[in-house]
Amino acid sequence: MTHLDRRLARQLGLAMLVKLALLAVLWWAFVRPVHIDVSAQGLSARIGATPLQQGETR
Amino acid sequence: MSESLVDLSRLQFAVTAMYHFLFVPLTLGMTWLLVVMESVYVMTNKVIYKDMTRFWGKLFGINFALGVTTGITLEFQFGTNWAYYSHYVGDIFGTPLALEGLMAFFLESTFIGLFFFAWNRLSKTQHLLVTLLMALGTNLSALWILIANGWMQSPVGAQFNPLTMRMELTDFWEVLFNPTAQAKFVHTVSAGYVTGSVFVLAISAWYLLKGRDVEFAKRSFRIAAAFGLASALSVIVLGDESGYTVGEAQQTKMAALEAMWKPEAAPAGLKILASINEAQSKNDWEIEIPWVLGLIGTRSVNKEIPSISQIKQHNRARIVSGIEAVKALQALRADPLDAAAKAAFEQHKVDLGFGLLLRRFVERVEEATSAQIEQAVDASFPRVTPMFWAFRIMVGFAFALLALFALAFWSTLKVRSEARPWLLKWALWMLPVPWITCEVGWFVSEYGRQPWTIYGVLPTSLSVSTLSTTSVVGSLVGFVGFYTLLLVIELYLMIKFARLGPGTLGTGRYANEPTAMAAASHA
Repeated sequence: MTHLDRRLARQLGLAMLVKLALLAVLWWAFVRPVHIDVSAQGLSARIGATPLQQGETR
Repeated sequence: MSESLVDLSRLQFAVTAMYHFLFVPLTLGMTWLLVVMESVYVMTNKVIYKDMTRFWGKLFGINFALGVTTGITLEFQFGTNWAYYSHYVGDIFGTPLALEGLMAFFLESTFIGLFFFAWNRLSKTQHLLVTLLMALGTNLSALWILIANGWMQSPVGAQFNPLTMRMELTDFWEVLFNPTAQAKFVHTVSAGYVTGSVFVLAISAWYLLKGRDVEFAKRSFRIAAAFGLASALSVIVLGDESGYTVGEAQQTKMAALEAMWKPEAAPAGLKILASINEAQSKNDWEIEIPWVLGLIGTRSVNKEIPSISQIKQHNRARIVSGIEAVKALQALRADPLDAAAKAAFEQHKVDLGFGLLLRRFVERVEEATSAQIEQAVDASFPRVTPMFWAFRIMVGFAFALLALFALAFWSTLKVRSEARPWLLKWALWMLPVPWITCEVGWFVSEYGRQPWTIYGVLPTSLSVSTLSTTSVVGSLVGFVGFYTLLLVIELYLMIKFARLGPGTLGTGRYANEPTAMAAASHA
C-alpha cells in the first residue's frame, strides 16, 4: 500500500463519516418530525371513497 | 391536494434519483470490466492485467464509496413525501426493496471488501471468484430495484382490497418475471456497462494522447472498446425490446414519445424530427422513416400502434367506468357485505385508478361533469414535447456511442490506436455522454409514466403526503446540498487519481510512481 493509497483510504473514510453524519442530520431535520396517518380510513377519505354521512350534502 | 406540493415532491424525487443515478451506472459497468481484466490476468499470468484490475478497481472503489447509501434519501421520501403511495402499494413495492437490501447489497458489499483487501490472502482464482461475485451482487441490486420500478410501470400479480384500501400481492412470480421489469433490467444494466466502458476508454485515450503508460493504456483501451461495443449493441437491441414491451404495457408512453396524435396505417413510421404543436394536437411538420416504429412496437407489419387520440378515447371510457368503481367502493366501505356493491366493484375495479384521476378536478368523483371528465382525459397523458425530444437525445447518443466503440474496436485490430489521435480525442470528449444518456433515459421512463405513480392504479396527485411546501423545499435544498458535496468529492478524487494513473499502484512499472514523486518533492 503506497502513501497515496493510505491517504485515499483516509479521505474516503472521512467522506463516508461526513456522509453518514449528513444523512443523520437530514433524517433528523426532515424525516423524524413527519408523521402521516395512512390508515385505511384516511386513504378512503383521500381518494373520495368514504360514503357521505347522514346530514352531509354533496 | 395542492399542485405545487405535488410538483415539489416530484421534483425532489427526480433530483435525488438522478443524482443517485450518476454513481450507479459506473459501478454496474466497472465490475464486469474488472472481471474481464482479472480473467485475462488469471489466464495469461501477465502482471499488467493484474495492475489494470487494481488501478481501475481503485477508481471503481472511489465511485462505490461515494455512491453507496445515496439511494437512502429515496427511501426517506417513500415514507415522508409519498406516504399514501407506500400505504397503497407497500405490500408489493416493499418486497423487492427489502430483498435488494438483504440479498444483493450485503453480497455486493462483502465481496467489494474482499476485492480490495484480499489480494495477498487469496489465490488468483479465488480472487477472480470474489470479483465475479462482486459483479453479480451489484447487478442483483439493480435487478430488485428494477423489478420494483417495472411493477410501477406495469403492475401485475396484485389486486386491490377494498377492506384494507391497499394493493395486495397475489403472485410473487408474476411480479418477479414481469416482462416490463426484465426488459428494463437488461436495458439499464447494459447502459451501465456502456458507461463503464466509456470511462475506461476515455481515460486510456488520455494516457495515449499524452504518450504515457502506453502498454497499460493500449490494453485498457482494447478491453473497453470490445466490451463497450458488445454493450452498446446490447443496449440498443434491448432498448428495442423495451420499446416492444412498452408497446404492450404502456401504449401511452409509446404514443407520447412518437408524437403520434392520430391513427396511422400499419406499419407506422418512426419520426426522426418533428415540429410538435401540443395546443392543436398535431405536428406542423415531421420527417420519418417508414415502417420502423410499427416493427419495433408490434413486431408485425399489419398491427396498428394506438395513437394519442385513440388512447384518450379509451381512457375516457375507463374514467367513466372508474366512476362506477368509486361508487361501488363507497358502498362497500359503508357495508362490506353489500352483494350488489361487491358485484359492481368486481365489474369495474380494473378502472378504479382511472376514476381516481378525477380527484384532481372534483371533490366527489361521482359528481364529475362532462367537462371535468374531459379534463381528466387530457391529464391522462404526459406532455408530448419533452418525451419526444428526450427520447431522440437518448437514441442519438446511443448510436454515437456505438459508432465510437465500433471505430475504437476496429482501430485496435487494424492499427495502433495511438496512431489515430482524432479517435482518442473523440473518446475523451465522449466521457460525459453515457451519463447524460442514462439520465435522459430515466426521464423518458419516469416522466412518460405520468400522471401515475403506479400505471393505471394510483395517480401521482393522490400518492403525495400532506406536507407543508416549506418542509419539502427545505428537504429538497438539504438533499441537493448533500449530493452536490458528494459529487464534488467524487470528481476531485477521480480526476486526481486518473491523472496520476497506474503509477499510484507503486509497482515501479509506470509513470508518476509515488516514490519518485516523493523523492522529487524532497529534493
